[in-house]
Amino acid sequence: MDISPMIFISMAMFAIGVVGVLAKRNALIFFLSIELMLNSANLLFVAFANLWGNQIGLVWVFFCVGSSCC
Amino acid sequence: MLYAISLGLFVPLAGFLALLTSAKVIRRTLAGIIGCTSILISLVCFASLLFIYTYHDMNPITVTLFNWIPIEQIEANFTLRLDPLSLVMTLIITGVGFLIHVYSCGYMEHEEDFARFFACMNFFVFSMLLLVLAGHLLLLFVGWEGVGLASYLLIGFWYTRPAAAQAATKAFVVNRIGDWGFLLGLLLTFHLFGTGDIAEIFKKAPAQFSVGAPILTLLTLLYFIGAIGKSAQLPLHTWLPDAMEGPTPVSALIHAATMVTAGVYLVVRMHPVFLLTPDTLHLIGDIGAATALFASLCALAQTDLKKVLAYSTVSQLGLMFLACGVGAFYAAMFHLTMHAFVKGLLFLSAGNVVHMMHGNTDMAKMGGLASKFPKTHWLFLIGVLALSGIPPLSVFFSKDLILEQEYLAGLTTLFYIGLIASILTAVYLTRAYCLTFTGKPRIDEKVLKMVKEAPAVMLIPVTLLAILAIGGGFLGFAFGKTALLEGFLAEVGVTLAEEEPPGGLLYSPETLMSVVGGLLGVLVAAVLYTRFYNRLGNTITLLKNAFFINEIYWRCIVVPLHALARAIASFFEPRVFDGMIRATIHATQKMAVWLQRIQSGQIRSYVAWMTLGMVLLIVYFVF
Repeated sequence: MDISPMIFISMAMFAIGVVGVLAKRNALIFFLSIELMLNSANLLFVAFANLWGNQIGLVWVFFCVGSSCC
Repeated sequence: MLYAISLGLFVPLAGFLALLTSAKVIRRTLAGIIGCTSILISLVCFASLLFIYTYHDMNPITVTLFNWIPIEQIEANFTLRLDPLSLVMTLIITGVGFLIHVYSCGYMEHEEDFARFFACMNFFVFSMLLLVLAGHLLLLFVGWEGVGLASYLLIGFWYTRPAAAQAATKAFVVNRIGDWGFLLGLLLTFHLFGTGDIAEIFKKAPAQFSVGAPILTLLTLLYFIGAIGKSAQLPLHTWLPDAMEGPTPVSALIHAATMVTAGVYLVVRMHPVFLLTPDTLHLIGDIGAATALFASLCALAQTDLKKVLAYSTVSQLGLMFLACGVGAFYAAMFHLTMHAFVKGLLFLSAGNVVHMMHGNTDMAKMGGLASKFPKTHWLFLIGVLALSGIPPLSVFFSKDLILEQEYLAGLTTLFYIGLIASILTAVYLTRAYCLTFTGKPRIDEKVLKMVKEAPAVMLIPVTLLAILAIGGGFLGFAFGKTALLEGFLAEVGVTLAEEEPPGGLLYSPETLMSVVGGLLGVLVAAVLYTRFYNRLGNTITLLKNAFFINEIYWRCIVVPLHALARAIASFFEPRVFDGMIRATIHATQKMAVWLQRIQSGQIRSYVAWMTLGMVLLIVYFVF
């Protein structure tokens, strides 16, 4: 399946996150933006896991979400 | 065998280290015992080696202790070579050295830095032994430099005296000029032969070059420049008279018996190479003769007792080089040995006087001391007569051998120069004796009351040297047969150049000339200085100042160098060097300030920089 939309969305999410980190003074929005960047990476993992039929990428997603809680 | 040589060589080094480290805490007697015993052990080692060598009919042995510098072109191993030549030298060094060490226990007894003195003396003996035992030229050079250093340390022993410090520096610097020549010669050797090993060079030199080859002449010339520096020949002789600032035992050991003979040893050791270059040999002979005459003339006018002996040393070394110049290397070695005994005797007995007069060496303040020094004045007189060449004392045989070789080789000018130098030797030595020991005392009343004969520890070594000075000649001369020394050294090719005439040494006209000349010199001087001149009188200023050579060097070389140094220090250094350094500092500081702006402490700017870097990386990897 075609994953190019997902990639675009991921890049967009990342860019938005970067801008948020740089431009927002509110600490909450700051951390939110960092999470957003993290999630964009997760999205990429899921997309490629789907493309290659490989489940390994999904393991990483679980780790990522888990570690970012702390 | 290996153990004997290594022991003999390294025990003085151990003594040096021991005394150096314990110099402040060690007691005087212990320091003296360590200092003298280490040389005694060395002496015993080499004496037993001599015994083994002669009675077991051995060949020269080469002992390689370890591979020192593993470079192809120079093959420098720590090679020690034991053959008759080096054995003779080691025996002189340790034998005379031991006597002088014992003497120093008495001479330096009032000295604060007693242990340091013996440390330096031991170091000197070690370096000199290394020099003569070296089988590789680079190792020889190490010993060569070592004795130069030891000389510096010992001349400037009383370093708080400015004259002594200056004399030490002068000795080292003038020596260095000679070392420069030697070092260039060493480099040329490596280039020509690919090795510095002496045995190898002896094999390769005749094979690769013919007699009189220019490049080989250059090589031997460079070696000889080293010898000129070390053995105080013209024009690098200026350091030796000034070196008398050091204690008298130092003058005896270093500047009479051993270090200054290193130059002669070098020429004799490398004689196979020197024999291939007759031009250099001629030059050696000429310089030797000129120096002998020059120094004899200067010694005539000196007022300082030790300076007379210093110029005498320069003169006798000139005679040794004169012998080398005609190819009579055995005569040079024979004279070296006899001179070591006699000069040691003269210096030490002079030291007896100097010590008792509390450091005064000016003959203007001496006179009539024969009654005060009943034994010393006889010893000094023996030395004077011996060095004047009166038969059958030792130097007569060696000096006459040299003069005879000159005459037979047909170099009559050099023969006459040597003859005149010998006659002058007799004159100035007798003059020194008379001015010091005879006539009316010119001394202070108080000093006159205090002066007495030297203690046994100082007299016994001198007496032993006197015995050697009297009887030593028969080591090297045996009335028509081959003498002990001659046969011994002939094994390494250290022989004479010319055959003796049928009548032998004793009955030839030239011998007669020199004996008569010597006797006349002694008599004339004795009469002059006891009857007519028993005072110092006028001394010819030109001679007293050694033809003003020191002043010429000072004006032409030292003063410009000082000016150059001052110019560099006052102008060049602050503006150029310091300027460059300050500019670097300035630039670094500015860059640091500029970079500091990155460290704002604000997280957002850090993140901004990080994103910028990330974007650049992505761009780089994608495109």
